[in-house]
Amino acid sequence: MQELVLIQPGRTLEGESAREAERSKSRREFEARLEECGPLAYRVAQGVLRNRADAEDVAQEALLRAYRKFDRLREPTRFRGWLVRIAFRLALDRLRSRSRREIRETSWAGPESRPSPPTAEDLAASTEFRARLERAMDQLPEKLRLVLLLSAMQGYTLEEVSSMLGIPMGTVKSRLFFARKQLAEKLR
Amino acid sequence: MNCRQYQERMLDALAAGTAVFPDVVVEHKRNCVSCEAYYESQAGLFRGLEEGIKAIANEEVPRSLVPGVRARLNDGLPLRSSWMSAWGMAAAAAAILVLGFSLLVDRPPYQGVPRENERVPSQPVENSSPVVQPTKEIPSADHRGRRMGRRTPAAAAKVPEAVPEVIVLPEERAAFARFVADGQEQGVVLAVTRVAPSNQDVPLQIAVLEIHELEVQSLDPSWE
Repeated sequence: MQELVLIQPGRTLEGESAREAERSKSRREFEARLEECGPLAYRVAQGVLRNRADAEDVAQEALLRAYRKFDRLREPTRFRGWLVRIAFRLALDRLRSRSRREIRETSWAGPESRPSPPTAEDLAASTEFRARLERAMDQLPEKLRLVLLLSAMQGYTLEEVSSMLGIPMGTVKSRLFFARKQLAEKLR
Repeated sequence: MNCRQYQERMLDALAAGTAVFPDVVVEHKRNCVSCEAYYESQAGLFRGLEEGIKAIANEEVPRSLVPGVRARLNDGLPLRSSWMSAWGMAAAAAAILVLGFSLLVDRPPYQGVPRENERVPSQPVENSSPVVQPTKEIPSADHRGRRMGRRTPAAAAKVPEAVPEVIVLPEERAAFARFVADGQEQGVVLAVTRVAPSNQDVPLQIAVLEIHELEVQSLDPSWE
């Protein structure tokens, strides 16, 4: 019996199999990168959102978007930088929509009570300090916040942050300087 | 420099992460109790800051993150971006609308279902004598069935839209013949008809007729 093979116009079986092989290779490379970059995306998102479920969701979304553009972003530094920016941007969007929802839900609540400022050492030892630090970080400009987060992550030097974000080393340092200074002013 | 200016220099050094001061600042700090206390408090604050930021930036990554991404990849990730899929949906919806509209425009006008009393056309004629006009080709039921689909211009020209089409079942035809025969015997009915052709499926066209008086009776004699 003669075998009937349907081939779409303009395509060949060789071309299809080559494309399939390319897709498989791309998928393997991406999965190898996933182990390294997944935590990076999560931590960036968590640094903005400070909610584990939201951060995981945003990180997954960022990684899936990265996969779509993986063919164009195989160079590791470019890939990491792109992933960091997209995770940061998605996290900010999520934070804004969450903030709007919380404002709607707590519109009947009274003004927030502010405790008297304790000493720096007391603050550092308390969870209240953590909460105040998070609020202060939320008020930082986005550029400063991202550099602050990345430079505080284990395993990333300032040089790597610089190449990841595509900005000069001096800019990384100056952003870090202003970020720390503004945070200290807000927490003082 | 006054104490405030010295304190500014200390803050800058702490924010830069160096904590290495110029000699003049070190000298002043050693001799000024308030500046020394200020430095200690600010150094503690910056230490707390560093620790807090590191804690925030190095949260434990959930184990489900990477498997979750793999699962979503295996589920079949849409490789087009969301705006592309949105445009695709819009294009599909537009195509469906255009197709539906073209079918609606191409469809022949609805003439309604022939009612029971329309089976025999009843129109006035000048001459009440029986007239049977030559048979014309009237579209059969098969033709009408095809007209429901896409209609070609040639087919449309063949179908006379104004002529009502009547399908007479064989039993109705026989009953009608009996009715006419009975009526003629009683002298109350004048019917216009002609002998049925041998080919039962050939459509007939009957000339218009005028009925001055009509008595409705059942075609089935056993009904009474």
